Amino acid sequence: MKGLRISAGLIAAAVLSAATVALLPPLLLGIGTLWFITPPLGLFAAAAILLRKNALLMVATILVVLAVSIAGVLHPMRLSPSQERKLTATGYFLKGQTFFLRGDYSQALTSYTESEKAGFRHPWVAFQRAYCYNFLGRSQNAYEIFARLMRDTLLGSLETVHINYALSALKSGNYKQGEQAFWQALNYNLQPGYCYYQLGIYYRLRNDQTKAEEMMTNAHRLAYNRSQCSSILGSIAESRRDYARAEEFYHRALRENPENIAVHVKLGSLLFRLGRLSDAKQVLLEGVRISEWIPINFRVYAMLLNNLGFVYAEEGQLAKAIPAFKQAIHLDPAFMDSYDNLAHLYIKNNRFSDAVVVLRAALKVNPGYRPARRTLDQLLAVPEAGQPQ
Amino acid sequence: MFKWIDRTFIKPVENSRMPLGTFILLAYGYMVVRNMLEGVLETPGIGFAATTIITLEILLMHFPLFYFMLFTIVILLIHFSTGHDIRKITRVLFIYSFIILIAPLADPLFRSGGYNLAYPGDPRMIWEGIKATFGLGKMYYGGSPGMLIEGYLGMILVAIYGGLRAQKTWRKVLSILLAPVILVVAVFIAGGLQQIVGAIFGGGSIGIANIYATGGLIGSATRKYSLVLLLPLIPLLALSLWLYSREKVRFLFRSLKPLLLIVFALGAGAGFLFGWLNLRDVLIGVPRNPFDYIALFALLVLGVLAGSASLFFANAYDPAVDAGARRTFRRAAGGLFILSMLLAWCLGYTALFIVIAFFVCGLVLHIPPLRLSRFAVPSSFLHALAVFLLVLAGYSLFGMERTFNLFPWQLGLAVFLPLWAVFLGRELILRRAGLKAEEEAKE
Repeated sequence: MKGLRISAGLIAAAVLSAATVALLPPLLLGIGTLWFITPPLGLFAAAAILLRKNALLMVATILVVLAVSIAGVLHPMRLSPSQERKLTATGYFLKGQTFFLRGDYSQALTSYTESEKAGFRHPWVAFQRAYCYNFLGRSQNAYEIFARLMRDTLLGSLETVHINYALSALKSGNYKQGEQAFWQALNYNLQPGYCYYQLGIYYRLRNDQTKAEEMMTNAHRLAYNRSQCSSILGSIAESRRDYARAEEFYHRALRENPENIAVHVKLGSLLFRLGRLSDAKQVLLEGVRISEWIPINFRVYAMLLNNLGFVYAEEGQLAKAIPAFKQAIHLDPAFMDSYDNLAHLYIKNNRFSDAVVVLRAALKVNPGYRPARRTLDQLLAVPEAGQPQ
Repeated sequence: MFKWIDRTFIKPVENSRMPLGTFILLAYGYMVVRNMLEGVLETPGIGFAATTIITLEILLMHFPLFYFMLFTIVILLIHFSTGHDIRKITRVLFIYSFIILIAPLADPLFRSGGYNLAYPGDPRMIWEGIKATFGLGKMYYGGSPGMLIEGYLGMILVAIYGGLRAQKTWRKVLSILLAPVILVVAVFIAGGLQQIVGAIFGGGSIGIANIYATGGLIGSATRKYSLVLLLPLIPLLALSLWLYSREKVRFLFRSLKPLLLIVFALGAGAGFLFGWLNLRDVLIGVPRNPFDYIALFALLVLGVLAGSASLFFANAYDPAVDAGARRTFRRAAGGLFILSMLLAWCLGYTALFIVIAFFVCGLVLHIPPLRLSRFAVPSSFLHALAVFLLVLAGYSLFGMERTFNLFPWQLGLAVFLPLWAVFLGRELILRRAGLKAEEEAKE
């Protein structure tokens, strides 16, 4: 009796399998070709069940999945217009995400905008757009979106929106809002180290050195980008002419990250100004040594070499100073100070034609660079004697 | 002295009754501590990124996979050179793998602020490091004195262990002489693999490291690195287990159901295809990146691993299976579960969440008290749902976090309902076969 019941069950399962396998894929997907494929597969599955051949049933399953996949490649699936719209809109959003992850913010922004146009209205799209605007330097656009998201906390979570809003506000010139937002973020305890750091930068730009120092000290205490904080604290001390303290901070910054090349530049400059040429040279050479190893910011590397050239020039080592300036120009042709310094070194050593070549090269890179234009005009104004005025 | 070392430090570990999982956990603990120390004491502070998700990926998956790859290769090479029991080698190596903590602790003593450590996969890095030890040049960027100490200490320990454990004299000599080679080969493979893959795919204008930061279906670079380490690690682990116990591995392989596993893998692959078909007009940038195709391969592997884990779970809690075999199945299921989760994590967070749902189906099906596999209809439903979840996992590579919004309901029904019907038939066949077997047993 028990066996008979199972047989009845098997028959029911066979019929069910045959029907679902044969009918559902072509009916639901609207792919005509499937009418020639799935019915035989349905019968195959039913036969496997009735014969109690599990392996054959699995083979039938594999064939069904393959058939639906291959038919899907050959013929487009029939979808409703709203589904098509949703796919396009969400697809553009995902395309934006792909570009975003790749760091192509311009393309990402275009895709997000397309997504919104196609009807995908989600706070996250707006958030991502604002993020792209921030990266592209269009801070006002970013600020407007973040401000809208901030008005309704349901639109975006606090921790993701708040900090970005604060930053975009400061960057777009809405200083009051930005400052308040960072203080508010500190009250919420959202990335406090980062908040203090940004506030430090803001107060420094506003020339409120006392507050800037306080903020940077707090950021440093919270171990946010320590070397950078120490470096900025050094700059603050330097601007107050407290050179001993500045030197202390710069040394601390180097202890915290020996590969922070910008600190080598700053410390080298400070020591040079203090007349400690030998110490300056040592710091700058160490920076150059590290720069040779690591993939770094070429502007900073060029500044380092430029300063080194200055030290060599001061020491009267022309043979070392000129290559240092030339290498700085080679590394970052847009860093105009190197042209200027090299040209003046040539003039000082009566190599006027070399100076003219350098200044012309500078003007080729940046035709509006006034110091080079002025010096070149002065040089070319005394053609006969070949002497500068 | 060597006998004392053997008696005091090696034999007690070799003969320990702690399960292998505990040794692995211990080594994993060292790795996480090393990563955290690196984050605090070394220059870039890489262990603790500002973004929690990236920190998790780096700290808990990417870096530990490098160490597991390194250790697995060292274990296999020591086994081949000494001929010693791989179980004992594994225990000793994992216990003493704390030497990886040396670099972050020692480096700040050599240079305040530490160093910017890189994978020692570049042969130049290893060569320059050896030269720098003897004052014949400067260290290659990415290396550090701490790394050199680790390397030399590791070499000495491998040589001592090889010398103590090799049975024949020629093997002893060979093991001692091969110790540096073992270390260099293991470091080069584990560290260099990512660079080799980068070099293969990154020809032309894209640099070796940049190829990992080109977006694609696997958005994060650290997950791409992890995948490059994880995929070769799986066969290496299988080989290690084979050497660990051939009988058990053979037994486990025999209990697999190849056709069912093909259904699982095919389901994941079909999901990938459906995702591409639905979104190809818009997502014009994928699949193009080489890692997109690696992701497809990983997806198929995920289908097989997750399916195998589910089958082993079923056997592990089947009252008809004897206790010893059940223990073996439980361990295998646990291992495969972890590997499946790691693979899914590499593929993306949506894939990870879907695979978690897949395993929930497996647990509800097979683990007491529910054990829904006892009933034909719920069992077939959950089996079909499990395959369908793998289809969604494949789709999620394109649909990402919007997968469930995007997947067309028609396609869902066209795939799920036939699967349910077929699995119902399968359940009934299995029950019928079970009944027959019971009757035969009675007779």
